[in-house]
Amino acid sequence: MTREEATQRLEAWMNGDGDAARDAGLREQLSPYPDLRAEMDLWTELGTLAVEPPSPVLEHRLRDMLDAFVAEAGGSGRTRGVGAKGKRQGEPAGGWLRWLAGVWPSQPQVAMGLAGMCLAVGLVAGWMAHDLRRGGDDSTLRALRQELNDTRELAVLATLNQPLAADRLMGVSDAAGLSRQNPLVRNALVRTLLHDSSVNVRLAALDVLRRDAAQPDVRTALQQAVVAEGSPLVQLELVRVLAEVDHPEARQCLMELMTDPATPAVVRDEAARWLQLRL
Amino acid sequence: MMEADEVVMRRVAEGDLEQMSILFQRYQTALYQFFRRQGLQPMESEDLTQEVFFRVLRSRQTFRRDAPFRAWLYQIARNIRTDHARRANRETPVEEDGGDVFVAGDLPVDERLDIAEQQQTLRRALEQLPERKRELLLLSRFQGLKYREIASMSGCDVNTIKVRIHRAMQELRESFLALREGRAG
Repeated sequence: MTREEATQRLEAWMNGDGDAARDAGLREQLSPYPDLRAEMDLWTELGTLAVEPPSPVLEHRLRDMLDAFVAEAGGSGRTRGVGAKGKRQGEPAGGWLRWLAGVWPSQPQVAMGLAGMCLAVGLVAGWMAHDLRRGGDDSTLRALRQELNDTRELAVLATLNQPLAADRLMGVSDAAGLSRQNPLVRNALVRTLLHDSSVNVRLAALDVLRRDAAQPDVRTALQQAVVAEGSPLVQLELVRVLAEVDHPEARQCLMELMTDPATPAVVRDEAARWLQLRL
Repeated sequence: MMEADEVVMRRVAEGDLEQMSILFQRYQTALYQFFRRQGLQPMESEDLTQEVFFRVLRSRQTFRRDAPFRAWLYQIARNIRTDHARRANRETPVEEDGGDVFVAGDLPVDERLDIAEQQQTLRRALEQLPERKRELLLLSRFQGLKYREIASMSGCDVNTIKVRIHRAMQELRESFLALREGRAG
């Protein structure tokens, strides 16, 4: 094979145009041309570099965004899109929240403005609720309370997505005051624990999640986090929380962490200490 | 049989918006990873992925019937990435831990560590490439775009793309070897 033919074959292979039977011996055929063979090897090696998939929250956000477009196309007569608001009859509040959380503006000035508007809406709702209370309409009052609660959750979710670690810390702190059964807030905290770039924010998220550590979904996330965590400080705290949970899977996870040579010695020792206490 | 992206996108353009969920399924992970591999954080990457689909929906009427969908989609993704970098007014960030390293668990520990170290070095070499070259390799190797699709995005011919990819690979290899030797030394 001439060099030109070899180059063409390699290019076709890299472009996914070759056929399996012909490509099987390609590496051997490239042996007279070490640079082309090295290029083929490096291309193969590149394919081993993996990145984690997105969190399940993204799928919900996309679905909610699509719902908004479908509603608009359906002739609701309202202009909707990123930053626009609207609620269709029968749409669950969680879905609406998820969508709006995804489109909450990241610029602090705009976010502050929007938060101010939410506050104004809250005040008006409060005033109306006061009137309604006098009228004795309990169901409307409950609905209004729910709306206010939703707005609060929305503000927390938006803060957890801010670029500044200090803002995200505030978001974690606010999340602590929300309903423990709220899966949206809990998912956001889990995501923060797993992916946030700041050690302080991750520690704060862990502190909030600690009280729900016995819940299977939270425990599983904590087990993932203790293995993936890069900071020994956070790892130590995760070890302590998992030890407190005292579940067979959590113990198994600590056992593996303890025997993994890649685990920092201080974390290994802490895991061993807790396991000894629990056994 | 799976319908071509272009057929699905044409239906979306004609008003059947629910079809868009098919394209979400096909591309949300790929787009997310496209942004992650360029050094963006998970949350930023999810935001930008959503923005890509938002722009696709908003500009659905402008989708050309004869255009390859993937090239159009990634052109939008590139524009969003550029806008994002401009907004953030910063250089493309390079993460110290630009992703996970996955190594088969049934290998001996020494071998696993060697492979993990090799992958880490390759990841760093990739991060050191100039942005345009890195993006070219990302599109071709990881996003699976064909030369003709990248050519149509870049406004040049297929041969130019082949040459650019070849040069990017050469530079990557040099950088990879230099890092490996530096580590060994």
